[in-house]
Amino acid sequence: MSINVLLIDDSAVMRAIALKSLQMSGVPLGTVHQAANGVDGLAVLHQHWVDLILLDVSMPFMRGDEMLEQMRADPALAGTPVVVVTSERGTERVTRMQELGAVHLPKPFTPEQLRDVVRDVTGVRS
Amino acid sequence: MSGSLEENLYSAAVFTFERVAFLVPDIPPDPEQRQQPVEAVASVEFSGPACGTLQLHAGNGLLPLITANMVGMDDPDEALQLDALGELANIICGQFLPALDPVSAFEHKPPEIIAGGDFTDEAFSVEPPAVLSARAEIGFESSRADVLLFLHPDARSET
Repeated sequence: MSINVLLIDDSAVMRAIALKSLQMSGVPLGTVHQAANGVDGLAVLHQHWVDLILLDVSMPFMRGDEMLEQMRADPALAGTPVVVVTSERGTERVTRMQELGAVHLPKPFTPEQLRDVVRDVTGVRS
Repeated sequence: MSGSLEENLYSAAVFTFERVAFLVPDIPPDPEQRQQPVEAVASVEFSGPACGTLQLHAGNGLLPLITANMVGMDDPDEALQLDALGELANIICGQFLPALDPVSAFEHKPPEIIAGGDFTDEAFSVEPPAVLSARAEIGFESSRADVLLFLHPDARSET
């Protein structure tokens, strides 16, 4: 089984690093979508099936925590696994996202760390 | 985390450059590396149990090198290069801040980038009352990076 992933980060460099890490991790990938903020991320989710979201916190237009709040309030999106990828540690925003079921992956991360988190939240093995 | 502010700043910067940009640092930079003028600066403001700004100064020629390593792309455009610099500053900041307070959380703002100027350390300073509290100077191949930590005096006195 391959998984469709949505990468949401306002940094194109971080999206590229996340994509490269996913490819190196051995996780069976389907389609990888990308968005630069929460607004664009929600638009992708309403158009495509996504199995996993890697979500930044601090972004223009709509932050990661704001997007996750909206997702959890939408029955169609509420169950989608979310990994919060940020260099923030223990902040209110990250804590709130964890309370909403997201898993925190601190930057920087290795492909192996990403693989382990993806396995944990999706149950998909390489 | 133990050690001086400067030791922790070096540690955070070296770890980030090695892990994210796959660059092995030269410490201290050699004279040729030191001569490279600053090409761009990424600045990250943080607040919490301590308040201040972390700046990452990139010497001439460093941006294409770090960006190519980070994204695996030859000849990255300028926007991507500045994006890469901002992300490195952001990650260094996240790595360093536990040295100021290992328990409490810090908020940090998105990085601000300044490029295309004729930079000197004196010309690019943080508004008072924040003061330069630690500095890490690192050489990379034929260029250099400087990481500067500015702390609000009230917060500095707590560390």
